[in-house]
Amino acid sequence: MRSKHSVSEKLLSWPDFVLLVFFVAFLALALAGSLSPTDGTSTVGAAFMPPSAEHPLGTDGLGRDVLARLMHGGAHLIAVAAVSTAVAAAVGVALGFAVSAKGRFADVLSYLLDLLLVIPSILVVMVLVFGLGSGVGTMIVVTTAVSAPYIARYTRSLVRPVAASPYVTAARLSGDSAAKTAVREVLPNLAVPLATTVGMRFINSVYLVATAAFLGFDPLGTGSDWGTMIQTGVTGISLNPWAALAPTIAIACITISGNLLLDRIGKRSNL
Amino acid sequence: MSPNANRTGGHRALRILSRILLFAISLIFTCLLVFLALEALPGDAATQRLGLQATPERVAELTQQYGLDKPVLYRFVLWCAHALQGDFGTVLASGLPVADAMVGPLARTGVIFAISLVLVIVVGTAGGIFAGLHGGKAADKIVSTLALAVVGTPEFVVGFFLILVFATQLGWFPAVSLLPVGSGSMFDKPIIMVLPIVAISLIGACTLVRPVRAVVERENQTLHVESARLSGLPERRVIVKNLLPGIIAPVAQSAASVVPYLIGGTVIIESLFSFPGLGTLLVNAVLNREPDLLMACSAVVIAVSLAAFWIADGLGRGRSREIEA
Repeated sequence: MRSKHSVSEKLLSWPDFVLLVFFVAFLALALAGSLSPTDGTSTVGAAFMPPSAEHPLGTDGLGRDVLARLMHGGAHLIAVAAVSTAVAAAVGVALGFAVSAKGRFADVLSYLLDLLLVIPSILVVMVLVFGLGSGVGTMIVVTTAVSAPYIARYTRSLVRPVAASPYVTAARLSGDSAAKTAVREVLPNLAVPLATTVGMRFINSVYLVATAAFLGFDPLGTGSDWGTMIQTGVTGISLNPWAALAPTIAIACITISGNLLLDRIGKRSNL
Repeated sequence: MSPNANRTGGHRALRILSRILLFAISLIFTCLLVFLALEALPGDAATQRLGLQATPERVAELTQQYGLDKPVLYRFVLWCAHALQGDFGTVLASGLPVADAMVGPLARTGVIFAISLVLVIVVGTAGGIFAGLHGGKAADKIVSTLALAVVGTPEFVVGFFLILVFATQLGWFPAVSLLPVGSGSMFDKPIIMVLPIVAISLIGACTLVRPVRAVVERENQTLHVESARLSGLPERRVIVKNLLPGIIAPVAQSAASVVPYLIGGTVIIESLFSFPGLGTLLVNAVLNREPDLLMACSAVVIAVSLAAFWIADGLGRGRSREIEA
């Protein structure tokens, strides 16, 4: 609070900028890694060999090159998290406007969303993987079920004060429909804070898909993402810790840098 | 308290009753959602149970026996009725009642969860108070950033680093929580509980630091704390006598709302350490396709999460009434 005045009105201070560079660089590395020629699906040596000149991170339980698998294990994970977050954001914002309206229906819907927020997200993962089978489609449903209530509740908290403001009243009085006013007058005002929350949910989606993989549900159907690498690498931790450690560090880099960055931006926009 | 104390008493009873009713409805509704989700997969329990021995006649026979030809709502009501009598169905692989399969893991998870929760409250509150009292200074930034870094890291990543340091490198604790062979009781080998408890507590405490910090920072700037400090009382006395009483209720509320997150974390941490608890049972129920077991374990997780939410919500409502009064 006290330091707020001295930080000036710049959008990003230098620590934010450093975090942003790291976050974008990690994401770019994860995506670019999948372009590398060897995809790490073939056996190149004995199981859990320690790092050597030929295999800088050693081999995994099936004798595959860990570095090659690390390069290829992130892109799919991040792409699925991004797509499913986009779906969750659309559903969440729409629900958020719906529950911002007055009336009994909005109250009941609002309570149901709060209820969904209480269910541990890992339970949502397990129940839906059981019911729908694992796969990208299931992950999109899971992420929507977990993230949309957050986004909806956040949207509601943003919409209510804006909805009471004079220019919205003016738009409504001039004869615009509620839906039109929502899209043209209210939504643009929410763009920055909503983007921060959606960013947070994206990190959470990476986290959730990786966790599903770690628990052995193979959510992407490839069996070669970072979460699955950790799950299969843990057994060889005393022989070649890198088989599990490398993907662990990769996930931590993305989630930690992203979280710290978005937290700072969120505080800045004073919400 | 007020002139219409009698009326308030009647209102309170009604309010508590309606909150209990709301809790029951929420629990039933959420269980119904899970029930429907588990039914969503094509291929029903009868076909799955028979596996390769499925013939159309046998499937039809079992379908009738399981009541699968009845509407789903009817089956859900039946499940509730059986569950109230302690009958949660059978484990397909072993043919044992689900309740029997759950007792041991549930007790073990209950023990490590309870210990972790105490540690979470103690460490999380202490960290939050420390950060809040140093609001804005370097000490606050270090604690807050570390806590956020842990919260922002997937649970299995946090657990994995603990295994790497304390099991593989230092060799102090086992990386896998195997029950002792003879008795099968974890209390004969308490060392297997250490790393799972540390991991769960660490995650929970870091989650709690932030809300506690915010409460402490606000309370620290209130008039009665400032004036106690200005009147020359020693800092420690100000903290214990003037600051702490004001933060107990909001901290309790925050602690209760951390519980659902902590349950999710426990499931993942148990799975990482192969700790023989409810979380591992849940994961195996999904991997081995055990609908009755998954439904029962989910119901337990949901009931505990909702109860925690209900308590946190109640504490919050109590406080806002106090402020209004």
